[in-house]
Amino acid sequence: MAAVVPDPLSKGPLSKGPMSTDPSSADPSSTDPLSSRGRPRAPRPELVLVRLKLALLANGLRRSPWQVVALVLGALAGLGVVGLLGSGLVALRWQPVDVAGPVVVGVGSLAVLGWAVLPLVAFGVDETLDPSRFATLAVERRALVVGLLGAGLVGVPGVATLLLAVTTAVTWSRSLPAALLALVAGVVAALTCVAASRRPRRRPRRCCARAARATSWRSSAGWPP
Amino acid sequence: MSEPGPPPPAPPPPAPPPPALALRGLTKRFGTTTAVDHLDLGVPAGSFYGVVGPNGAGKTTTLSMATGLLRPDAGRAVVLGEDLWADPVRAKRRLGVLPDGVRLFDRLSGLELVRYTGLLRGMPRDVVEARAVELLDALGLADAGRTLVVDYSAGMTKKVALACALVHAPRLLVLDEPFEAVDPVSGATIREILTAYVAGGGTVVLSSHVMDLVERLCDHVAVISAGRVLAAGPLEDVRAGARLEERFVALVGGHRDLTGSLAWLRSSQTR
Repeated sequence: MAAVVPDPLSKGPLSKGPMSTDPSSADPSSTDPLSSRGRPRAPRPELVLVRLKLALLANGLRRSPWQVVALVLGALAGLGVVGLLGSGLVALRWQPVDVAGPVVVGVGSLAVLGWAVLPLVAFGVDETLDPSRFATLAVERRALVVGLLGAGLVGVPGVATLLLAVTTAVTWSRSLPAALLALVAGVVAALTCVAASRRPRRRPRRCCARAARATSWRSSAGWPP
Repeated sequence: MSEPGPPPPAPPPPAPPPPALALRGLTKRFGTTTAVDHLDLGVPAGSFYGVVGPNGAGKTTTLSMATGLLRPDAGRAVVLGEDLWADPVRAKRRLGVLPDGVRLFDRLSGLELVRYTGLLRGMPRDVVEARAVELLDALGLADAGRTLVVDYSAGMTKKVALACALVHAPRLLVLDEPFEAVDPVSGATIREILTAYVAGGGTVVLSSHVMDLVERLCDHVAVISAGRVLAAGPLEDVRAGARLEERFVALVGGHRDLTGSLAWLRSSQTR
């Protein structure tokens, strides 16, 4: 059986591997030169990262029924929070700006703070997409940052935060420009939350070390190389 | 599975092409200890290079710096002519890595893991799909393709990590302890794949502390101790007529003559 093993390497598409100069450009020709012409190019890594997060979530559910229970409960809780806070944001539409402004800003700040602090003191950060896991792959940093931000929105907290942040557009629907700006700012705010939840580096396991680094405002933008 | 007798000495590489991997003055300190100390190493293209050394010699640290996993304090790592730390993404495109203590997305199935690795490397979907299936088949993981990697044995994990390192058909493959925790059958499979890979023009660098294996598999070897290269070059030159293990012990030193000590361990002695 073992003698058969190298065969695919010497005859299959891999055989050209060590000789080819660039895997992304030279390889399609090694499988089928005709059919791969004019095909859509490789999927964007940003989208692959989001899909990867979805696959990890789905497999977690496949593995244990308790994960399903947790997800359903989490989704219900998230729905409750979104319903409650969302209706509050809508109600603020008819309040004077002096009231609505501070409330929206205050609640938004608390949300960012919660995203930054909760993963540190509670059940460990969501490490499913720890940037250091991509160190051996040639992923462009920009694609990695964008993809991980997008993937961070996948899940109950991410979706809830995004929904609420976007709902502020209703609060500010007093004029069209204000509503549009609120919409953009809402998306930015949700992404800020996700960025705040990433801790800079995984090394010391102790909470205090993490907290110390968390308070010395996180360099989440400068992901580990 | 095991090939009897010593292997035929590998043919010397033709006209010396630029090295597949060149380490120049690589240095890494952890606190006050210097793990890797101005280390220089040249790996010729097309060679099967073994890096051996005692525990704590700096093998893993060196390979991590050579593959973009750990930033060196000083020195350069040139992968296939590209300065790795100057442009990591570019250099990593043609580099495959099997790190020690691999951290994989273990909530993916084996097939998914190889597939996502290829996609993240920017490969077209159909190519990834075909190669993932082929690789798992070659590594004897075809039946486990739908099992989550978290449920894999240590050997299976090693093999699927190897599949991930190979999926983009790198020209240089760096493996840290690829045979650790791998059963003999899987080990033979990995050996054959690596041998075929080198025969196809690829370059392999692997670290190990199993001298027999390095002697059997590699055509070049470097002995590293205390973060420095003690000897490096073609296997025949390094072992200089002796067995690699003997040369290794002679080079590294620190072997103690135990005659007379630990007498209390002898069961024949009664109190």
